[in-house]
Amino acid sequence: MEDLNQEVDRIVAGIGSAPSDVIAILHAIQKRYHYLPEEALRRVCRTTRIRPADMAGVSRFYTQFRHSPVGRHMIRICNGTACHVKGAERVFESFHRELGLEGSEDTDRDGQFTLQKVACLGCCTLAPVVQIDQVTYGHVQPESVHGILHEFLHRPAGHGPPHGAPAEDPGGHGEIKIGLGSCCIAGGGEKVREELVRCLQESEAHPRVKRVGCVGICHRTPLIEIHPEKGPSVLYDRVRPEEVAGIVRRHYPPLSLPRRWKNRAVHYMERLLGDSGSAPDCRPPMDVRDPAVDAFLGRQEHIATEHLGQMDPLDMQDYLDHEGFRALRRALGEMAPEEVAECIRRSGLRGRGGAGFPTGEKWRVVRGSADPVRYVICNGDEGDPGAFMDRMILESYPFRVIEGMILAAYAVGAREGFFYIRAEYPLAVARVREAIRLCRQEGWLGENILGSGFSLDLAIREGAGAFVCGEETALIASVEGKRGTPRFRPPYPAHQGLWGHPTAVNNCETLAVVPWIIRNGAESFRTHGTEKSRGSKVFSLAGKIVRGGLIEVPLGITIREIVEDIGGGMEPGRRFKAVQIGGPSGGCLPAEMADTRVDYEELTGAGAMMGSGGLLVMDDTDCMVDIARYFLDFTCHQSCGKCTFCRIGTQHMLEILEDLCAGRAHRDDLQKLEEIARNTRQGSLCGLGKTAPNPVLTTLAYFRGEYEAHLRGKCPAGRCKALIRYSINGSCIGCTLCAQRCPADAIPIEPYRRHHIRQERCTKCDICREVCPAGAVEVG
Amino acid sequence: MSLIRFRIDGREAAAEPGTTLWEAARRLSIDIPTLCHRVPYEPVTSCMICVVEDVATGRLLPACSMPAAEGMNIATDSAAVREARKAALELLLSEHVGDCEAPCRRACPAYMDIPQMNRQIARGRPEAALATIRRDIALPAVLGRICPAPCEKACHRRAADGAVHICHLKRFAADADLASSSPFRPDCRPPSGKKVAILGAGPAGLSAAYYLQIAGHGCRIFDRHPLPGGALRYGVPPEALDRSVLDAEIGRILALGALFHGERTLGQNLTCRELLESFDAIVLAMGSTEMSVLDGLGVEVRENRVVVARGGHETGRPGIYAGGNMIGEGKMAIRAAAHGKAMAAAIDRSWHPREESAESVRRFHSVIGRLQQGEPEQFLQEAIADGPLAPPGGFSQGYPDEMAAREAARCYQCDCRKKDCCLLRIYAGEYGSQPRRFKYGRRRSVRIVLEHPRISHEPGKCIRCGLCVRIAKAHEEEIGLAFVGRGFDMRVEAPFGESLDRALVKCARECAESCPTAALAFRERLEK
Repeated sequence: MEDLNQEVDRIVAGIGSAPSDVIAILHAIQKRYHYLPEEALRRVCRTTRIRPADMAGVSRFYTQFRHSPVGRHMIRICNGTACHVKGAERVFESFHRELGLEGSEDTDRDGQFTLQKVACLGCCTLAPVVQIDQVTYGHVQPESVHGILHEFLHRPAGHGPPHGAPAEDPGGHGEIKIGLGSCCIAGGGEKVREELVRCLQESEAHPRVKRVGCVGICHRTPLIEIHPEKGPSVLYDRVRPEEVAGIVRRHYPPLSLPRRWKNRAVHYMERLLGDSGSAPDCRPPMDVRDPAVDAFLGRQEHIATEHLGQMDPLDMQDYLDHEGFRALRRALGEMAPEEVAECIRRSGLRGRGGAGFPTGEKWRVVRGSADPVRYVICNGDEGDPGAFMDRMILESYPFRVIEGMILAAYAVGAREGFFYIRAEYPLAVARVREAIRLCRQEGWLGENILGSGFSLDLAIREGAGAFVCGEETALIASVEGKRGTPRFRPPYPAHQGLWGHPTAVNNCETLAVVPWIIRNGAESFRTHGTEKSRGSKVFSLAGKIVRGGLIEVPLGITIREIVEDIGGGMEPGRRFKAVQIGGPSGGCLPAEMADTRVDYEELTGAGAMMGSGGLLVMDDTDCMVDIARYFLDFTCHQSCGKCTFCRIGTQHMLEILEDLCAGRAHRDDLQKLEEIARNTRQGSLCGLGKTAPNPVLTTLAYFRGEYEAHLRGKCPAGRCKALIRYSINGSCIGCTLCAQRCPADAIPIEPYRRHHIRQERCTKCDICREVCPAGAVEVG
Repeated sequence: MSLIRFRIDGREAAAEPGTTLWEAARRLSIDIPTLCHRVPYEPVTSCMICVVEDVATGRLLPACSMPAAEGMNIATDSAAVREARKAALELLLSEHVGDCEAPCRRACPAYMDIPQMNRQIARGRPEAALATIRRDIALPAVLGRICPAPCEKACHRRAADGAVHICHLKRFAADADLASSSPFRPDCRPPSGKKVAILGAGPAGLSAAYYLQIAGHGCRIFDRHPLPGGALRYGVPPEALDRSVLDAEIGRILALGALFHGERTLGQNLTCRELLESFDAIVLAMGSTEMSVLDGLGVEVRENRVVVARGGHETGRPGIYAGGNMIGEGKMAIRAAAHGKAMAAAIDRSWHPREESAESVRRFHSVIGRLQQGEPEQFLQEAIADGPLAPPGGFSQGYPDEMAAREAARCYQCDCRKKDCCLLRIYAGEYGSQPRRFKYGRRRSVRIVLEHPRISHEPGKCIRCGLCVRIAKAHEEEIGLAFVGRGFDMRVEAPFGESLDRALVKCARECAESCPTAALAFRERLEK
């Protein structure tokens, strides 16, 4: 107890004891104890001005906070949209089985692992994704769970943190760029980088190994781009650590003969001993003029993501070399604050967070306030499952967003600003924190910036697992250290925001665009996009397409162009069925509406929404009722609970959708579902509740036939477990593989004979279908 | 500062900037309903009952938080507003775990306040219990002997260890009164000068006479038999109903001033014309009769039944009412008695529309339904655990005092502590909400927390408005209350598992008074 008190006091002393520090204190206590011991919370209340009621209210609002002890390792199963459609539920069940958990247990008997479903981890192109502590696994199949646990427990120690000091000194041998966004790391990028460094040491070549931000081609991670001193650069995709040696040898032959001989010998032995058929030496690079890459990048226009894949995120010099801070210099040197706001207003830039409010207009209102205390806040609480634009922008362009923040603060007259970043993005938090430190050090932040007389400081506030905090009034409440519940507007934050003062809350993508506009002028921004929706928009493209990733496209592009040209269409044999735009606030538009243009008004008119930019493509194996259920499950759990319609309406919609998916629904339930949806849309307090019915209303409008099929107990897509059965057809070769792997003992072993499934035992885990070499397992 | 000008329900309004629509409406004496807002606390926009319509846009706005704006045109009671309020109330009711009235009372055709009677008997106050009974039942000693007791079939305790012997408790209180030297006398209003003819001296006619006399209207009861009682005297065998009890109870009714005329049969020695000319109202309660004798009254008869207004007793002819078996609703005496009371109330209302009726009006009900496992234990906190008690001399003898009190103390008291002032119930009634419209999934469990010496906490009745959380904060309670969790599972609790008596040291009383439902209430139940 004595220890705990001291430890807690130390934490509080390091953070502060104001009521607004409570979330940071809770994060620190949880980091120390892996959960929040009640005694620790009581101690905080005794020693600070934080009241027990506020402590309890806050600690039990945010889902990141745990109130009971956990296992030594946390297994987080991503429950994002892309993971959902690619079978996250089955992966979860497989872990559940593998750990011997029963019912609602989440920790195994040895206290080794705790299993948890989490909100989107933002690695959608690698779906389904699982994180064990800091290690991320992509493309996880139910089958591979056993192997993953084994590999995790036997992984080599000493993996460095995925961030840190900028790249080594250039050694005069050109440059190797390696993408290290979260997706790349999840795809094994860090291991590839380590291997690269190791091989280069052996080769005695000293190219600069440069970590760069997200390249956007997330479906082909990890990526290495080699820039020799002379000649064109070469790009390698989906690099595996064991291929690195070959790549390095190709470009940087060992200089000294003995070492060359030694290396050859070692690799010869490796090839003799290893059973890999593909020789690492012969690894072909990816053609940069590869038509696929061309198509993927060709239609894009990079503004927020300018210099994509070229810069080290935390190398200030690199940023300066790529026009960094030129906008700020210009604004502070030549422009009055009003001119900055006016320039943004003229550009037609609208908020990229979803609602599309004109940014310059918002700034003008804040600027015009009589209150001298004003704030700027960067909204990085990207919580939509299936969206990872903000994460990528914060991870790859922290200086750019900071520059946007400084410009915003200058325009509105704020001296203080906050980044609000969700806790699920540790890499983004770490990079922004480091970037702020560097900016302070170099005089881009602090007192009297560039001698202009303008001063600004920025701080970070981490979220703690609450989607609703993306709503600006809830976000402000959270920054103030309260439960993240929205309040009624008006007053709008631009009039009364943080601590009652005028506050400009802008999304990070919006801020990332601002420097470009100031640099290039409002007119050139207006040449991108459409009449009412100017500029470009970053989307995370994921789901059942050939090429997923992070894209930035001009507004006004059609859905078809995105899906077919950039995304490369469906995987072979599959039919394009629908796109989900805007996540839980958006809607599902059918393939027939693929010519809808992506701009604020057209999407809203179709019942969807720009949202923050998640774009999930679905094929004929995806069930629209299940998708609606998935999103309602999400919003229902993310509802803050404040207003009647959202709190109870989302719950009832979810219950009806669950009944539909389980074949228990009655005919009049469809009408009730629609009724509740309309009431919730009309009567909810904030954007979350008002838009939560969109996935239901759009699927009801465009896919009503599927709902009716569920009423009859049929799931046409073969997705809803309760409505399908597995069987084995005549193609069975009697190999017994399915019977051996079935975790439920539902398939008796009958060598050389056609197997059959005992329905009463089958858990529909899909493993038999996955392992069958003859394609004999049918779902119907 | 210049005033903002706008319109509410077509009326011109002016207010300082920042005035909410709710405040502005109140100044015009327009009452906008709300559950979560209470002066002087800051509005939080939670319940969404206070929505009003912006006529120009059709948008619904929460009046408690929306500031008035120049040129606004607000409708506080449009069809869209009423529909939205109804839906919000229905959503709140869909997860509301509580019976407004106990199931016994709902099952009682006379809608008698049974739990209150039980409490009064349990506290050793049978005379108070009798007053409760007589508010709805004019012949309690009689019905205490012959009633088939639908109330006991509905009793929540029936499935556990047997229903409370409600009917015998009623008899106990009534018998005590009949034996008392200072029996119960209802307060009668001064004579109104109105005269009512009652045809039939059975349970319906007698009950009508009792309540009409209390309301100050003079009654004459006509019956074809020589003595009053109707089916009670000429149908029920004497061994089931001692005639001395019947005579005594009828005596109480006649003592209020009603006059009985025996051996007067309509169509023979009593004419329709006579009735129409001499009386201000006529009650038809003759039980089964030859319908042709009614021809002269001009009431409509179909399939041997007098046609009355749906759910009421008014015939097509003003001033003429019908009840009991004449409108065909089965043979239960308690039902006939209930009709008599309802006819009296209807007649009284027709003459004094503004006056509050003495009748217990059947109102909106939230209903728990069958109790689930573990729930009887919640109620047992306030009831004794004994199984049903039988009088030592058998049920034909009735309970001795001490035993009646114990049997009455078995009552779960499942009626709501705030049944008369719960805003959710009042508004649900006002907006015609259907409590089951949005019921889905499993219901929450009944929990009754009695940690605080004076305040009860029933989480299943909480609508999450957070008034108590705000009140505790405003009073700077050291522990206070908090919202924990979020979304549908959000609830109000004292932090760190503290008990309510420690959490609310300064403002428990205000919390109990302010809670719009009985989630927080005074443990002590006030008698009506």
